[in-house]
Formats: sequence, structure tokens, C-alpha cells
Amino acid sequence: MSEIDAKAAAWAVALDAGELNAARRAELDAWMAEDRRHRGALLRAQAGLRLMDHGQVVSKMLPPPRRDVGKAAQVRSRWAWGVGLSTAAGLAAAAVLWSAPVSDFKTQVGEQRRVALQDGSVAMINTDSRLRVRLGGPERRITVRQGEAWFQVAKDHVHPFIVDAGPVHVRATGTAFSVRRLTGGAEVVVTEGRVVAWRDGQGGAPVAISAGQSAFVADSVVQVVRAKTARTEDVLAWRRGEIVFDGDTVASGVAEFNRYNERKIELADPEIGQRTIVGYFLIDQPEQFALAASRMTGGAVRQDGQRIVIENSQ
Amino acid sequence: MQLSPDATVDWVALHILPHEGFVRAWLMRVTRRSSEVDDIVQEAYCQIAELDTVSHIRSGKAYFLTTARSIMLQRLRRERVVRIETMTDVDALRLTDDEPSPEQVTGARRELERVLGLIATLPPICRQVIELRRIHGFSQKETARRLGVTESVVENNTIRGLRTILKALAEDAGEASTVEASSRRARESAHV
Repeated sequence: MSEIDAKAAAWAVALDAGELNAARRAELDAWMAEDRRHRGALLRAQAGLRLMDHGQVVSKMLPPPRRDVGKAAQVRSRWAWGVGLSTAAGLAAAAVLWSAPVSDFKTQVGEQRRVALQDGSVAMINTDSRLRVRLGGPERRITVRQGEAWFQVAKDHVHPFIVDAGPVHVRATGTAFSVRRLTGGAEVVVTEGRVVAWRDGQGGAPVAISAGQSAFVADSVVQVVRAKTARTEDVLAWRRGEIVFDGDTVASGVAEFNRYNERKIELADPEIGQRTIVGYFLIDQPEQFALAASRMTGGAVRQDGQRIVIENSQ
Repeated sequence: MQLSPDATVDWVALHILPHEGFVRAWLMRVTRRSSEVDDIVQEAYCQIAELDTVSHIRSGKAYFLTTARSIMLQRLRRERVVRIETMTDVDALRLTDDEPSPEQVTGARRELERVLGLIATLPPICRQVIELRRIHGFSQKETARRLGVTESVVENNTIRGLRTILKALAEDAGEASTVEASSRRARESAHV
């Protein structure tokens, strides 16, 4: 085994165990920069680790081995290729079919998905998100690897329901709340009951968040957890396919719409982004939002197949 | 330096790694040099890691094979000795057909089972660590607590298991896959 592969395996395992500290991260960056082959080796090792964890699933998705390979080669049936195609559905889909305790869920941009979990809880997964669900252990464990999800947790005091988003953790027994993973932290919004949130490392003292409140739990030690009274129903309007603004900036509205649509909204002038906007919009109608924003600024909307540009009045 | 997104890692695990044995066997038949095979496969992973997205790729296996083939051709062209015959023959290989034949798909599963079967041959502590991850999805910290060992013991054993798998993937896949008759013809004339 090559030296590169050995190093790559160690990095893949370290990355999987959690966020690297600054020094280790710098070390990894240095290693990656040293030789362009290192990046490929790391990708291969990371995929190998996933295969080690989920290999049985992948294996089950592929057609069973045949003894009479020679004969099979002559009868090139279309059916066999059909099976091959259906195996291309993705690791996430595979895990769903798999009845074992670990399941992965994934949504595309613009997709929202409601998933009934085995313990009776419900997860509503927002756009462009990835979730790992582990039930059956002493704890019910959900990992928000990317994006956002809202949970209606089935009451079970013996098995706490813990959501991990990077170094941030949220613990509940029977409540409803959402967790969104963002760069540098996680946003928690509670709609029912009460949850406790904390993060790994120093200064990670748990903070209680109650119904109607939201909190941003930062990854870094510097920022503190704060709970604030939130327009929780507005923040979670995505569950009804809506986006609600109440004095939010146009820039944040653009960012919000762009989470859900492949056709991105752009601002011709960043100055437009500073204006604030109020209103209800449908998630899949970014044009309506663009129109409303342009009217407010007296500008115009120009659109083509790929993008919607809000222009200034000139 | 940017890390590959999770989606790419998943895709490589599902659509690339299970076919590595096949691609290696194919390269070995054409190049006949295992050091050459290692370099080409390494370069192929490099190119995959450099992709912004993999969502446009319909067949991972065909993509892997095509990438490996073009790397091989580039390398051949760089060798000033110009093995023209090899090149034309290699060009003639039927790789545009991205429908894997039944026996090729079958080979991937057998190969994967072979590789995963090696976990059973690992020392008990290593096996236990892997099973706790795999079956229960426990984190490194939880696994350490349950086994009553330090986190670094868990980490080292996970690395050990992973290295076994990576090594097995790179080993000769043996009968894992068969190639098209046309590539067999090419191979015969490539070594004149």
C-alpha cells in the first residue's frame, strides 16, 4: 500500500470523526497542497470509509453474482441493464430501502420531503439537505449533514432524540423544532415544547430554547448562544411551500429564494439588496419576488432560462 | 484546498469504487504494467476529485473507464517511443457503449463482497470498531466509551480497517470482470 493511501486513510477517518481544529486543518491543507494526487487519494479514502459503513447496502443493490458468467455474456438481456439502471438511484435511496437502523435521506434543490421515522417521529426535510437517521440505539440520533429539517418528535423519555449539526447538538424528548446547518453554526427554531442545545468544546454549556424561540449556536468559541423570540411560524413557512418576509433585506430574500431554485436571482446593483421587504411568497415562484423587489426599488426584472436579474432604475 | 462535497463522496462510494477492480483489470490487460495501472487509477481519482459536480454523469462505471482510457492514451502519447500500433488499437476499443453488460455489473457485486469480506479477517478489536460504526452508527467517542478504550484506539483501528479495504480494492480483481472481445483483440495486437 502506498504511503499516499495510508496518509489519505488517516485523514479520511479524522475528517469523519468531526471538525478538525485549526492546526490539524492547516496540516491537512498543507498535505493537500503538496501534491495534486493527494486530493484524489483522499476522495477515494473517504468513499472507501463510506463503503466500509454502507458497503452491504451497495452490494445488495447490485445484481447477485452469477455462476454461469460465460452464458450470461451471450444473452445480453435488456432486463439486466434495467436492473443496473435502477441501482444508479444513489446511496441515499439505497439506505431508505434498507430496514437497518441507519438511514440516509437527501433532497435536491427545491425538493422538500416528509419522512415518517420508525419511532413515530416525523422529519420534514427542506431543500438541498442531507440527513442521517440512526434509531434503535439508546439514543435516537439524527445528523443534519447539510441543509435544514424540522422534527416532530414522538415522546419517548428513555430514548432521547438528539440532532447533531457539526459540533452543535440539540436534545429533545417530545417536542417540535427545526435545525438548519449554516456556515459557522446551526440555527435552531422551536415550535413546541423545549429543547436543549450545546456545542462541543469549551464554552459549550447547554442552553434551553423554548417554543416560539430561536437560537444561533455558533461553531466557534467566541460567539455565544442566544435565544430570541422568533416569528417561528414565518421562519418555518417553508413547510407550507411559502417564504415570509417581514422587514428582511432584499439581499437575504434573494439568498432565501436561491436555496430553493436552480434558476438563481441576481442583483445588478448590491445597493438594491439593502432595501427591506414585507410579504408572503411561494417558494417556487422566484419571479414574483423579483417583481415585487424591483417595483419597490423602481427597477426592472430581466430574465432568461438560467437567471432572474433585478436591475436598478436607470 | 477544498474538500470534495459529501454528494461526491457518496457517488464515488456507490458508482466508482465498486468498479475499480474492473477498471484495473482492463488497464492491466491493455498496459501489462501494474505500476502503470496504479498511476492511471490515481490520476483518474484526481480528475474526479476536481469535478465541481457529478450529477451530470449517467454511468459512473463508463465514466471511470473513459477517464482511465484517456489518461492512458495521454501517457502513451507522451512516451516518445511512439507505440503507434498500440494507440490505434486502443482507440479502437469499444468504450463508447456505456451499457455495462450483465457480467460486468455482476462482477462489481462479487468484487465488493470480496473486499467487504476481508473485514472478517481483521483482528477482533478492529472488527468490533467497524461493526459499531456500521451497525449502530456510533461516533468515535461513543464507540470508545462502549469498548472501554481511548478514542485514539478507535481511530487507529478504523484507519486499519479502511486501509485493508483500500488495499483490497487496488489488488488484482482476478476474475471479477470480463472485457469485451474487441479489447481482447486489441490487447493481443498491442504487444507486438
